[in-house]
Amino acid sequence: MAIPSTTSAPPPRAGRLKARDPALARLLEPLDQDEPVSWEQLLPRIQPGRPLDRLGLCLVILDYLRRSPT
Amino acid sequence: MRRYLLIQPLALGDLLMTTPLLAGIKADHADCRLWVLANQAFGEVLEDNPALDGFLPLPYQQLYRLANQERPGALAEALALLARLSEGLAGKWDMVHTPAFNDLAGALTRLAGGERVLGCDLTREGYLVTRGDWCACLNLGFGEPAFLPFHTADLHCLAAGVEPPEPGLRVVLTPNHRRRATELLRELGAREGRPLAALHPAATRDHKRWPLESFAILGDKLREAGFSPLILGGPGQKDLCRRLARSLGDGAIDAGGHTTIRQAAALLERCDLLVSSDSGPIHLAAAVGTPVVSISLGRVQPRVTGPYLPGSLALEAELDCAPCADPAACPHQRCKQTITPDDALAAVWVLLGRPFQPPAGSRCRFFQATRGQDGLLDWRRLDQLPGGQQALYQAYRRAWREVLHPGPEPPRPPVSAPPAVNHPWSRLEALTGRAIQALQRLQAALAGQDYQAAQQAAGEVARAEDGIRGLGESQPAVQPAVLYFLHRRGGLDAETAPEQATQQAGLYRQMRELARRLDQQTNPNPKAGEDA
Repeated sequence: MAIPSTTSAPPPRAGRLKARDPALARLLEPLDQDEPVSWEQLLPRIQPGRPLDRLGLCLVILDYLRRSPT
Repeated sequence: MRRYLLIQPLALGDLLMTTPLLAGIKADHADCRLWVLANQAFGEVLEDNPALDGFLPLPYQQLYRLANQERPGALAEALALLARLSEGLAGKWDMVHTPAFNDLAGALTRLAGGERVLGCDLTREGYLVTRGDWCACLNLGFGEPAFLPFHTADLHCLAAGVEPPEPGLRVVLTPNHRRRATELLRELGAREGRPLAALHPAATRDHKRWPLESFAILGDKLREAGFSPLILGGPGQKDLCRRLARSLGDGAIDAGGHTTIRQAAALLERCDLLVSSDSGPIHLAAAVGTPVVSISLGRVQPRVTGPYLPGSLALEAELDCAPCADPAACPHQRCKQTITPDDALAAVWVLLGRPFQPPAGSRCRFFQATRGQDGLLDWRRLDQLPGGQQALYQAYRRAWREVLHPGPEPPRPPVSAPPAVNHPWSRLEALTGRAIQALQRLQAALAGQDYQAAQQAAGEVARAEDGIRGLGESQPAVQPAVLYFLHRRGGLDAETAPEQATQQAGLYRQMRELARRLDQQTNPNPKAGEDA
């Protein structure tokens, strides 16, 4: 699983995103307020064998799209 | 069944191939509310479809773009989109049917949370599984090229156990679409009264794309025969269409990028024929009744995804490696050159009613779509096909239908007679019988909490499975059955060991029955003790 290189700007924190968007807040509910919403931070949630919650399923979709040619 | 969700996140053609299923569900379950979740770029082909109660757009391109951006906020934006999509999707469905097999399809299925699932699913731990006999069979067409004797559109209907009131794909055209087609033909300089031959030079994957030079030569030949070549392509294929039009020169009509999907269908409706690589437009043409010559390259299996319209043709290279197991690793892509413009022209003449006349030195397989005696789409080879292979194809076609069941549940065990010996089918039958007996012992041991006996029985099941796997590797005729078995076996994920043993026993019984049917059909007068 390739992790994209990070740019200088820090990733947004879960707390700030939760405050902005109620639907996203419900999806990010398992994350701590200070947790960065980045691939590096979230990829371990979709390691094979680990139970998937709704956030995990959304990450599976996006990870598939990252690996897909089109 | 009151609320049915079909999830089809793949390409345009894949969505079109579900339209007989949609019609069949509506016809057989009049009170069912039927929704489709699909790539919003292709939602147009389902507009005005009377079978449909609702469409859930998947913002595929937007999600793809965001997932592939390195910008720090992109992931959060993508998650926000999916947060809303998943909330709108969840918990409403009696049946979720997903005839596509990848992590995206599996995760969407799990997010929908149907009471019953047919097709692709993810387990709680994220492992991809396939639920349902026919969906496992369809999946054979997505993996290694296998001997799959049914068209995808029919497999969808078999999986759901429904029959469409009328065979065929469907796209609904309105007077506006037809009017726009007329205007476009005038604007692009089509000559009144001259027959139109559509050419679609693009394909979503490079391995499926017939060379542009071949299209150009064919276009010239069609023009010489009195046709106006009409070039079709989507907005992202404008450049390719323009290059082909330039190469053809005067008289070519370049409609590339000028139409919506249904306007393209309205143009195809005006054409006498379409020649295209295996891609969305072949299904669009079939849906409006325009006959097709489909060039099947790379890993495309013409019988499985060819044009669903009797009379249409699919061409495949006469190469040992066709269809291809791994186009990305292919060093030569010889199939692209093996099918020549003369081969395509020979197929065009068949579409137009002339007798089949293969070009001298042709190295091409010509399949013509026909309606089988069983009511499903079938293919006949216009060129020579070794009798044994054709017999095996027909035997599988009958046996799968006799043994596989619609719906997601494991099959009910049929009553069975003792097996014969030695023939490859008999070996399969014997191995499955051994596994069934071991599974019975396993169930008894689990019930009696005799874990030592359970372990011993599980070992016997595993040895039988190894034997089946080995039989599939050594006996090509048995291979499709074994591939199906392994795929279905991998998808059984019951929560308890006794339930898992019950499901496995059902599958082994189904395999034993399949072996018997195939034995009867391929070997109607077996001698006792005959070896293969």
